[in-house]
Amino acid sequence: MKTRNMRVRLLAAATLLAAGAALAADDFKDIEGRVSEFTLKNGMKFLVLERHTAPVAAFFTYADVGSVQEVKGITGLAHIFEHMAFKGTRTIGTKDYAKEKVALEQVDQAFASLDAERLKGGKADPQKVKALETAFKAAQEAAGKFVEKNEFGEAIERAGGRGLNATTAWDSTRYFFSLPSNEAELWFYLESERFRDPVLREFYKEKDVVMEERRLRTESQPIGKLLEEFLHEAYIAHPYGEPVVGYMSDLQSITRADAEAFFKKNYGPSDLTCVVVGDVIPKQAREMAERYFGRISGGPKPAPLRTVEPPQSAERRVTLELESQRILLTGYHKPDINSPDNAVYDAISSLMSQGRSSRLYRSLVRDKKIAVQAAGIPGLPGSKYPGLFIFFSVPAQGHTNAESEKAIEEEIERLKKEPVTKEELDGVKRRARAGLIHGLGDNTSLALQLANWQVLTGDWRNLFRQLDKINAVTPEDIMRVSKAVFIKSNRTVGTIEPLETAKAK
Amino acid sequence: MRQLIGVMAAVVALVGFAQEAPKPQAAKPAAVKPGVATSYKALKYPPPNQIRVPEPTRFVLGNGMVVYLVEDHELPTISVSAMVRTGDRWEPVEKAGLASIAGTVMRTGGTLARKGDQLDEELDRLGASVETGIGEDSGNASVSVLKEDIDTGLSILADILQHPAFPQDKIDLAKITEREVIARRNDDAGQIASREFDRMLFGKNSAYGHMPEYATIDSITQADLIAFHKQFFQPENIMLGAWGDFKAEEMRAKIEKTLGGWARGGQAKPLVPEMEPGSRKRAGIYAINKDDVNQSTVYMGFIGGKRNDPDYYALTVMNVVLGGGFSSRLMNHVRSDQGLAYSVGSSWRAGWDRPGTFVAQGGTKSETTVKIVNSIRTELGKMSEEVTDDELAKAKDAILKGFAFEFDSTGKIVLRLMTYDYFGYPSDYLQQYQANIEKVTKADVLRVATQYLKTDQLAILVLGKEKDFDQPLATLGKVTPIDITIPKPAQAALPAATPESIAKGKALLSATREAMGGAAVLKVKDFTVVGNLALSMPQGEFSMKMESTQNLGGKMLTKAVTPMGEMLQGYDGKVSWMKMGQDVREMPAAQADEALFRDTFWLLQNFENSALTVQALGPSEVDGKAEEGIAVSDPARKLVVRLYVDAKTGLLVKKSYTAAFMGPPTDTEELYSDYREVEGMKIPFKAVVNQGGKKRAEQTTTEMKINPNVADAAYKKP
Repeated sequence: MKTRNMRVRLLAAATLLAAGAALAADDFKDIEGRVSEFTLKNGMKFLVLERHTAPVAAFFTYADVGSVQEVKGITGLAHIFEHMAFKGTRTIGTKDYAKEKVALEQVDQAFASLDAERLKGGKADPQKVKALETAFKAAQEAAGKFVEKNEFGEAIERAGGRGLNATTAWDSTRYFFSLPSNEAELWFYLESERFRDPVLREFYKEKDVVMEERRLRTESQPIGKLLEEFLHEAYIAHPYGEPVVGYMSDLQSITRADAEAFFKKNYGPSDLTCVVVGDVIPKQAREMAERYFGRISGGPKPAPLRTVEPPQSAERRVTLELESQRILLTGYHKPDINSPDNAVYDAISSLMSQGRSSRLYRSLVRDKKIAVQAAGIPGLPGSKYPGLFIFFSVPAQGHTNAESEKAIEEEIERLKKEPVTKEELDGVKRRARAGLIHGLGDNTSLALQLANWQVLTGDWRNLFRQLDKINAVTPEDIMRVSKAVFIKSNRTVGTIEPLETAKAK
Repeated sequence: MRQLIGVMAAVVALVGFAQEAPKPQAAKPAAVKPGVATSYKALKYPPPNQIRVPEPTRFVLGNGMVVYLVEDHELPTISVSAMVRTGDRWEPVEKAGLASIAGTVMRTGGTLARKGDQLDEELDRLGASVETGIGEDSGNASVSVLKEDIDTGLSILADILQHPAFPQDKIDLAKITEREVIARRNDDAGQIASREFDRMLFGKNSAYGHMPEYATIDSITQADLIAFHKQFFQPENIMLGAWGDFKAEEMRAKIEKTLGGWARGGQAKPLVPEMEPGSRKRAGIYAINKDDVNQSTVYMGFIGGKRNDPDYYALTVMNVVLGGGFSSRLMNHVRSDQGLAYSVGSSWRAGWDRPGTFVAQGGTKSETTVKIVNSIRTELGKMSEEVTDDELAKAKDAILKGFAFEFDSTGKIVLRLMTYDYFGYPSDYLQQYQANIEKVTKADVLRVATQYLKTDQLAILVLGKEKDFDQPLATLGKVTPIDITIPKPAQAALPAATPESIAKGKALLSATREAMGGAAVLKVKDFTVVGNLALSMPQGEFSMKMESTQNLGGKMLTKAVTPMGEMLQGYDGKVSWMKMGQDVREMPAAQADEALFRDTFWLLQNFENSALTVQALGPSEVDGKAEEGIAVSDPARKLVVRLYVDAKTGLLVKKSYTAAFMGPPTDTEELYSDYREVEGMKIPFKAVVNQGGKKRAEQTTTEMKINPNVADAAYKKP
């Protein structure tokens, strides 16, 4: 019945849209009405959205911790912990935990001795390093005997689970998968166990895996290299400038104790928000949440980050000369997601980048033919803290990054000087609405969005309210924000120049 | 490029795109037991809630188009998707890229009635999308709209399918993107390995392994696109599905109205191209060296089978055990046990109507490359030794228990039915698949593993920085290197020659010939340039004395005094050679041949020859001076040179062409200055050579000998 209600409302909404009127987020009241929210006594937040279209459900855990919680020496730790969260508990993933525990402590000791010697650098004794490596390897093998390989993931696969994965970013660590809905309790069990009682087994092996991930995504990939250098340049104080995956030396030396301390500090129940979307009954979900997640204890949320990126006072540039074709990135510091102007940035992004009639496509790709792709987007590296509005271009053969930069600048100047026409702004608003509606048909994407808005803005309803805010954006807002933010001294430019051309300079 | 788009898209994607789901059903209350289970294994689940499978309406229009309709009233949206029997496997290999460009320009170019740019604006204003594209074995045209925009969306779709305009400006735009994809295709290691592995297996010029090159893209014309469209886009070759918030009978009427009047094309249904005969015999070690990576990418496998092979089900189960999941053997042993890789796994990629591939892959640091090859290969070998009951059960559960996910969106359901229909599979193929997976036994898995996973007959491709490998690849067997050099980017394609541009081009060159000496130019048979050549090398500047003789009948001889000693380079019209000290070696003749074609005297003597095409390129500027461009091309030899002459004096200012010069073929230009009188002619005594925007060489002439009459024997290889 509820679904039908929503349809009627959305239909009414659609009619209004056809009439050309801007729509209020009120029209999403029905779907809003199907969201149940509750907070456990320990501070853990839950959102449950009923959607009975198929007997499946998506489960999503948003941990309000990311690489910004790291300091020098432990870069990459939030991401390593994400990997470790698949390694099981005292009962999952082990053949005999009592014995394994002892063996794991021996691995830690062996690693500590080895790392201490290695960190002597040039003064390290190669013979001693070799002996310690052998001892470390033996300790790992001994501990490995107690491991029930990947039992955590296997339990989900056996249940017919889909899409098991997790991602770590600057702002967040997010864990998710879907299950046939009758097996929902499996998620409550496994998810509560891994954040209640994780055992960081195979820790040092997994660090090797993470180092491979760094080689794959950053070191062997031109774009990865550029992003890392670009963010370094754009941030001088705030941890948004550090790579999520961390530096090789830190990955090398991080210990299991480091990860455990990080977990204790950042994974308390009040740092976790869970979202369930699909064929579930909220009352039952709540009961299971209390039963399983209610067991987790923990202290208060960690103290907020102190460092605020100081205002940028001069343009910064970084150029990488690589065996790769050209890429241009330009980033302007902008406020966080809770700024009253947040919707203005979204409107600018849509105006500049959405569709083939968008300004950057028209100018750089269609008319000037100097690029094959160009766009402007808010929200990198994150939006919890002041991030960047990034313009990027993929220049066409025979055309330089400088040409793209100039053309993008021309479009930025237009934003500052000419009020956007009503037609263009109407298009922005309609696209925002259509995009939101199309996104309502997928459990995982709904769960992701509800979680993002809940954690970052304190209220999941802002997913729908954002539409009101976009509808309220005026041509003057766009000019005002553009004039304030898109200025040279607030800009970082990062480019890849192909090795040959780079040499020519 | 894709990676960047991926990174950016992930950031932008606040709102995901999704299909609609079937009618809602109430969930049965699950039995809730108080207390926490001691193990997840002890959990007792209620029976699964029923899967509601929507019954599609299927009908065939009078013109042969098959239509599927499914109502779904959850959201006020409508989606339409057409599958067209076309694909790049049917494009001529020498026109690789034709299908892709056709797929792009159908939409961007608009129709005879509506310009592409107009469509862009109309659709963006609505927040709607109509898109087209062509892949290997099918074309797609789709509409995604809020329901009140369906008439607009459907009429655009119908118009695009029937009357695409293929305007030249959008063809040119699509070609820019195609060229960019070529230029960037070697930027990403994973992309290279995956692409080259498939091409090596299928055959790089086969229907399934060919790919666009600059030359193939340049050769595609508007007429090709129109013919391609006519050949494949006909109603009897199309299957159309629509789902969303509509009444089936109303949607049927709309489809009849917009597409029912399209007349049959009457072209024969294209046959599935044959596999290349050698594609099942590719065992060996293949290597791609890439010095700017510190992680190697390893692919191993062979040509596999189809989805309707009897062994497909057992092979699917086998693959899940081996490398298909989060707790597969490859994940457990190569990743978790050894920490060798972040990415490792395998897949049995069966084709619908042609054999697919089996691939096992992994990425590891350069220093453990051979180790991971052996490690993965060992796991492949062990597949035929033993499979436990538990592994079999786990694999089957993973496949079968997720059955409900096959029905979690209406779009998924409709597209699946269309795909079965398109490839001639029964509409209950999914149910048959489930039943057949259920039947797979341990003996089946061991049998197919033994039959298919022959570790001594694998094709193994390794991409990485070879000098950092733990062991040379040769320890694995005989190594065949794969060359991924991108074939020469021709300069921007010439505009089509018109009678006017041809006449003007010839007039300009005649004037240049006059300016440079007229009759005296025509009398030159051979000439010698004596002077200095300063080379800009990565190691620094090198200056050398040089004497170069050219016979306009097609011979060359260059003597250079380098810091390493005297060097001779010659070409007698057949053999090109080089002599340095006692070392004499042959060189590719093509380079000498191309250099002779570009010689100024030769061009001025021969441009009226009917084998050559001369065309004016229009006025432009070189260093602030007005000049006129003229292109001379030899279509038979695929050679092009552009000449730029001073608009006032008629003298040659610049020549540009594509050539190799200490590296891959690159855009090259020669700038001429310091014109002096020599035997009644005006000859430039200075030439600067730029390549890829960088100064490569500067030649200063000290003496110019006209018709020295050098004997033919001097050009011969010593």
